[in-house]
Amino acid sequence: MSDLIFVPREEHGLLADTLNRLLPEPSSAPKDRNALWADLAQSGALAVGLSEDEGGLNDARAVGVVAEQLGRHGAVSPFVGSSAVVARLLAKSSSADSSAGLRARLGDGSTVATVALLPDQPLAVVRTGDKYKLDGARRLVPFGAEADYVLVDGTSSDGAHVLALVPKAAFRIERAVIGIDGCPYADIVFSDSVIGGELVLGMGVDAERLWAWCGDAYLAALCADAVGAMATLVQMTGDYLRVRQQFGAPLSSYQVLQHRFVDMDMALTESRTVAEWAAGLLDADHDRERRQAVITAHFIVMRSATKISQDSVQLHGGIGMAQETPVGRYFKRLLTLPLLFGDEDRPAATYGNAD
Amino acid sequence: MATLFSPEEEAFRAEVRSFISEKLPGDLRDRMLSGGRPTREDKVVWTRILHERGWGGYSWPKEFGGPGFTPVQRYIFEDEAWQAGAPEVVPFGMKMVAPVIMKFGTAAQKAYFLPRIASLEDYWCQGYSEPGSGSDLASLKTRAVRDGSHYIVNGQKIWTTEAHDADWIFCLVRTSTTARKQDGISFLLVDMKTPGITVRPIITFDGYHEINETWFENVRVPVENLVGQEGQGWTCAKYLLEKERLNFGGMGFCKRELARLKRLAAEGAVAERRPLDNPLFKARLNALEMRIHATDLTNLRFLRAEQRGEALGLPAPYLKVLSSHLQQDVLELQMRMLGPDALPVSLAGGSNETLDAISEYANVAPNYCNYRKTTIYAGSNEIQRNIAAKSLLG
Repeated sequence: MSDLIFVPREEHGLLADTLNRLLPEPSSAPKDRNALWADLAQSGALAVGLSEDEGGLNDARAVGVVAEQLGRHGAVSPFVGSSAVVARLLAKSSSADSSAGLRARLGDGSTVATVALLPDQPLAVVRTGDKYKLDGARRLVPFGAEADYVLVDGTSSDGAHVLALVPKAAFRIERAVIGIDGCPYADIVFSDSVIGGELVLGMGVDAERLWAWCGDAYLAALCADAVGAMATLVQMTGDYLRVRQQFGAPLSSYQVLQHRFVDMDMALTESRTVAEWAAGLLDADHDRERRQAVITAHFIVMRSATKISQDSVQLHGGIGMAQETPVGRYFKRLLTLPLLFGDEDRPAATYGNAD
Repeated sequence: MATLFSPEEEAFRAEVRSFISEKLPGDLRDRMLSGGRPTREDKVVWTRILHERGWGGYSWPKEFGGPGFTPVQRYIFEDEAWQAGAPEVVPFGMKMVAPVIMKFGTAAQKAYFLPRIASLEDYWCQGYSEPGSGSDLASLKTRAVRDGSHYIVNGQKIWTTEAHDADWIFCLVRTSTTARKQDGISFLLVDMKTPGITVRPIITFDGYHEINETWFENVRVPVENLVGQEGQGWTCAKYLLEKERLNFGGMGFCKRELARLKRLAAEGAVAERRPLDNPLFKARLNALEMRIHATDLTNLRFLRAEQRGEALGLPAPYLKVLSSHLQQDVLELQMRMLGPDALPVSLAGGSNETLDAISEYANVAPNYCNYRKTTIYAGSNEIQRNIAAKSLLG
């Protein structure tokens, strides 16, 4: 087994091929989400982030391979929150032994978990005996209405971070919405929600570190997903330029369009580099090393995504605006990153601050 | 967790680092790390040091006297050399003409020229562009007419970098006007001391003499200095481009100048304006650093593919386009950050040297001016995009 970033393991190629066959053609209509999830579960893709003993590859890069294929095929699923973040977090946290059963269910897709990414509302966690009581809210939780568990970062009465995995019986869906990116989101409310101590995955500094890892793992997987979506847009745009005739010649014969297309492909090339780098460093021993790689990936992928999605529509012309043209679907998919995690200004402002 | 380099590669890096820190003269290092440009003598000194270690032709395979580095070792070597402040070796010899001689040259050419390149006994320059043949290089007109055991060369080359320092020039010359224009071109090695060669300086708008126009008037070149077959010059030139498709130098330069930018931001005369306290400047600096990382790692990703024997994307055009812009952008940000401190470039009534000697800032604006060249030379970025488009769109 190779441990070098940019040197794929054999399993990565096999995994990509499997998913490529399994998932619907990028240009076809999206598959029913439940059927898709069942297919993914069947293929073993949901477990790749787990250890070898648990049927996985114990490999963040393999998680990136899956995310990229999902992006490439426009597949809407809770993979990132459930498999890329929560399942792997459980293996990292102190409750690793007790959560083996839950990890297995996440790995076979029978249980779905998600992450409340926007911690911009108060969420109080109070210990009562061997249980914890949560009060507060989280908004726009991806797949929040479908998930069996939601991972939240709350605050204890003494101001410490508390990382908790809350089962759906303990929260209420206040509002369910569909995002521009085609994903479902839910605003959820915790009101005297009581959970067992085994579902608290970290406290204080420990929780803070793990929560930072979760954000990075989510972001890195989204970057890989974006690389897949961008690859599809570049592919579709190249195909269109070769076929579409104007002024008696294919669009691909015009230099001004050639150069714009080359710039799109070049942007994709750079994004693939940083997405693979970030995935490779996700489990680095030093948090700072991981942080800088993920921030860089965010920045570069964000720039590329804006350029590629906008230019794909432009180079398709009028037909690029039509709902039935698949370009628009990938254009919108690429909005998850800036809308949930911020556009390139955020990494530009935060890079280096980890020093 | 995965890593960028293997333990063996890290050990190699440490070896290179300690060699450079021990052998590179301190004054040379200091000049290079403060934006100075290496002189001919600087390059000779450094190449001879490398040569003693067996690294004079460090990009070469063992069979031609090189160390046989892997592509990634070569990347590491150059990365270390740039960041430690070593001057760049003369690329026209080691990286350009040498691979062509290895591939197409005669046994005699290999035996004579290669050792002299590794020791920098011969300083090379490149005669490609002509006044009427820039991007349309294949239209070149410099004629080489066979006359017994010689070619008689007549014509004019332009933008010949360091022709005034060079002992030899490799030229693309026209040996046939009847064939398809690419097939009428030959690859010729010419001794710069041959009668009939005139080198005239072209001063660039940064005020420096780096490039020239080189005239050939009835220059007699022995036929044994033809590389490959007559009419095979375009093939040699394309091979050279392919061989040299990974241009590490650009990213090494970027990393060195980024370090200088950060040092200047943190110290000295600009301290009173405290650029690092300006969030807009900080964001620009961060953005630049992240772009440099991304391209540097893209380079490494291509090298890993090369090492696996895999073709991967379009390394040559992309790295050229990306790295040329980054080189320009890092120098531009240095200059803008310095603001008024970047204005003075010479003393009234004095020489460049005088102000260079007392102010590190005097070279910043000229370097910015000079590096507008990077998006033009070695196949302009527009030509690079044409090449990429041909491969992507057919």
